Amino acid sequence: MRKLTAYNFLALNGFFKGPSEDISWHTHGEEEAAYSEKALAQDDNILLFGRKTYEMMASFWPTPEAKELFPKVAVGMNLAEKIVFSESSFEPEWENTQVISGDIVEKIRGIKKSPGKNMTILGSGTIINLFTDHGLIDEYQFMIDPVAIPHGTPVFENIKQKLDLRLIDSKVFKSGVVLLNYQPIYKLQG
Amino acid sequence: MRKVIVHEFITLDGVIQAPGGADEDTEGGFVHGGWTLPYWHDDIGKHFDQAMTQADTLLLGRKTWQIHGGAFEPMPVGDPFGDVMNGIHKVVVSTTLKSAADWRNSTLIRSNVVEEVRKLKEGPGKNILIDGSSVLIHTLAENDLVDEYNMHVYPLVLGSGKRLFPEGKRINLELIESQALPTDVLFQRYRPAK
Repeated sequence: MRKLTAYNFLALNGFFKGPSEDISWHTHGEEEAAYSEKALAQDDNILLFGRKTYEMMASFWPTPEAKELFPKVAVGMNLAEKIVFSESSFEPEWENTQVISGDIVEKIRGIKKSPGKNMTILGSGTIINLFTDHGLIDEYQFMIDPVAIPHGTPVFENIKQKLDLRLIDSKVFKSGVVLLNYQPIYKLQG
Repeated sequence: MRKVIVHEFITLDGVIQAPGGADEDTEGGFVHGGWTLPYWHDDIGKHFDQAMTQADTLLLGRKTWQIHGGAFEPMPVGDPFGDVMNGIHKVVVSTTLKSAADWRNSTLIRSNVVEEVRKLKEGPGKNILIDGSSVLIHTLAENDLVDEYNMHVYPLVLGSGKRLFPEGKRINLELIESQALPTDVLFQRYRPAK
């Protein structure tokens, strides 16, 4: 069974983005970038996105600006296999992207059972909520910034049941960002 | 200047409502009361004791003051935690209370909260500690009167409930300490960034 991870930047008040997809409050320090580089360099993950996060990412990572600011991460992001979930089919411009629409819960369940790379959802609150409700996520990784932002979208906005987790790892960056890894309890109980 | 220390139990999604009991605070139809109970660890108590030894005043919103007072005021002398909570000076903030007589050693702030808390901070004494008190904390945070946030972060997402941080205000913090406890609770201490 392939592993499905949800990976998010969070503000201290649980928002994963501010208004207009704003994540400028997130600290992209050297240590944080090194962590992302290492994760991407392993090339053992397919990156998953909802449409909004995908479009935000697609408008940044292929640009010369991204290649200058975060050269290694940009290479990793552009080369990685990507899946975007979308209600309507469209022609993606970002390289290595596959569009999945329709019953995405059933489709991702099928993909998890098939052999292949592990998968990581980036951003994409709507997808995280949907997959959480269906018990499809095996691990949550939160990179939490030392900031409360004025307004935003909670990563868990409309989950149907409370979610009990187990803390499996934590790491502190010099910037005050903490990286927390959690597994849902229902997964541990099988 | 005395420090105002916020000491909270909080979920991963920022909820601080009714951590200690099912009926503690069901406002807004909250059904998850008592969510801290399965995760108790002695260090959680130690952290609170430590905060208490560095403080000589509890600053509380009306609801939290009533919940604490209702629990501690009737306790017989000799209960170690009860003695500490009953003995310490309490300041309760409320526009509706007529008196603070229901819990010993309490005084009442009825108006000009921001000015009154500022005066408290400028006066002599040790730290001023706050727990619970979601409404009061929003007022203090909005006016930059909080000097430290001590948070026990529980491995839970509840999806709804009263939140620690006020809407509409950006608060930049610095991490002072982060410690994972054996029951999957994280102890995080933050102070406002300079």
